[in-house]
Amino acid sequence: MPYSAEISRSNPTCFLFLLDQSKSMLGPIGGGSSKTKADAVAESLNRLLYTLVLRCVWGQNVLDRFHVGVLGYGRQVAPALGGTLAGRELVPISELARGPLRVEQHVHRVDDGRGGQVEQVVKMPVWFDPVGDGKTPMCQCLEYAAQVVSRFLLEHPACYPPLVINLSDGEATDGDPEAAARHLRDLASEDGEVLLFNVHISSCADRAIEFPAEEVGLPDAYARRLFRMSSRLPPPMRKAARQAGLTVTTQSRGFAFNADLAAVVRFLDIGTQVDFKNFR
Amino acid sequence: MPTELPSLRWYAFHTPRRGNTPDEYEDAFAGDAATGRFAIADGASESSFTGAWAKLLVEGFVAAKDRSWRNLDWLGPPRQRWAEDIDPQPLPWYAEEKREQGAYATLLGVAFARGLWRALAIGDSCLFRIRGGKFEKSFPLVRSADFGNQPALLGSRGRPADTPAQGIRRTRGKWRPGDRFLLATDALAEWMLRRHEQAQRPADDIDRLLAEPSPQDTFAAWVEERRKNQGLRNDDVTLVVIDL
Repeated sequence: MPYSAEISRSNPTCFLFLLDQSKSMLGPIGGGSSKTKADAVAESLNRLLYTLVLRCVWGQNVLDRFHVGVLGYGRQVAPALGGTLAGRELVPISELARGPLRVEQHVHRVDDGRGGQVEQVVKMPVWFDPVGDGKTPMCQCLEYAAQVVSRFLLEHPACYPPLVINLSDGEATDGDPEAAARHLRDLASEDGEVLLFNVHISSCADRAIEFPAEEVGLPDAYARRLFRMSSRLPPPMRKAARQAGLTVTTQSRGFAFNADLAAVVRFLDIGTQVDFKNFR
Repeated sequence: MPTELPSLRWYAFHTPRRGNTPDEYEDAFAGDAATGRFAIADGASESSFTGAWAKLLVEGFVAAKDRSWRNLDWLGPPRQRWAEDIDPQPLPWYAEEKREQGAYATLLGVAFARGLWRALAIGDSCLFRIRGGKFEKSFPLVRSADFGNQPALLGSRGRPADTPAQGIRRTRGKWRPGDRFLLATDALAEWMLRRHEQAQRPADDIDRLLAEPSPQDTFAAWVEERRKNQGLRNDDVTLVVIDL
């Protein structure tokens, strides 16, 4: 059965995030938030990377169950992690844990349960800062992602299939990305095909469409193309989507259209779920 | 009082996941023939310091005073002990955050008294009763297909969600001399139910294991053979056998 391989130090899987860093990302995100799209995506992705780190912490160690990378596309197509991880395509999660740009401390005031309030310090590691410059060379980035994932598959042929999540607010400016997307999805480990998910970041107030199961009903040709570029959700993610109150079927794709900040966060959470039963 | 208790013999077996070292084993078991109480626990691999928590849980269940084991009133001291042991350790910032979340484990406990047994379960560690070589009772899960969902877990931090009220299952029954009870963590329990559904008589496999000259030494190989050939999931495995 595909998507059932164990995820362990000896058989890790990989998560690769493709991040639109074009100029339009500096516009405000839809859904009433005052943040720019670039800010919102950087914040969500930094938070997600932290969640992935925490899933692999074991006592005082971090088990390298995941290798993680972020590729940016805008003025250039290049790895987007900074600091000691600058230039790296995929890094074992233990290195990611040790290498944020900085760890911010956010102070929240919370009820102390006795009628007063106490300050609670929450640590927020930052691996990369928002960027918005240049066009949207999505095709080139998908091709680059295919090379990175191919190299990972050579080293880990029996891995739980790698997951690639592409976050963008607009159409590719370097051609039709469907062929590059298909090439990426055609790559496979012994446990199944590489998963490619697409998140279209909203610039308007329209409601987000999350994990649709068919092209019919999508608002335009661009949305339908992104739908076709996206893989179907494997079982652990369908379960997570249902737990989040979304309706999904076996045909549902890893695709969100017009995602506001809440939808991006929800998508990343559901899209990176793996069955803990596969954890070693 | 000892006179109320059955005479019994018990054996415990355990082995880590393939690929892990013995100190990475995060199940636990405990038993006391004098009080007739036995327990197993399975530490959740997504949390930190779970092996220590699983061990404190089973020891707490077995040592709980009188009938307090039937509720979870005895969880306070093991939770305090876990915090005392774990919280002072200096850790990197990301490991501190994970420690703050606490450790999680399943728990299955059984208590034998004169003629009666009672069991308590949180999560998917299972109890089986075998009578006359036949599988007769399975608790709390009854089909191999029941595994795989996120099991209920007991948390070490003692926040409200750490003791899931809906997740606590209880059962009771009468035992007879000659009965055998098995306590098994999820991978082995799932295998037993599946073999039973396929009319493969898993109880006979346990008989053969116990008939080995040195079953403790054989257990890891016995498990590995079933991982290889019979789809036993690669996980920590714990088995407690209680013969009445």
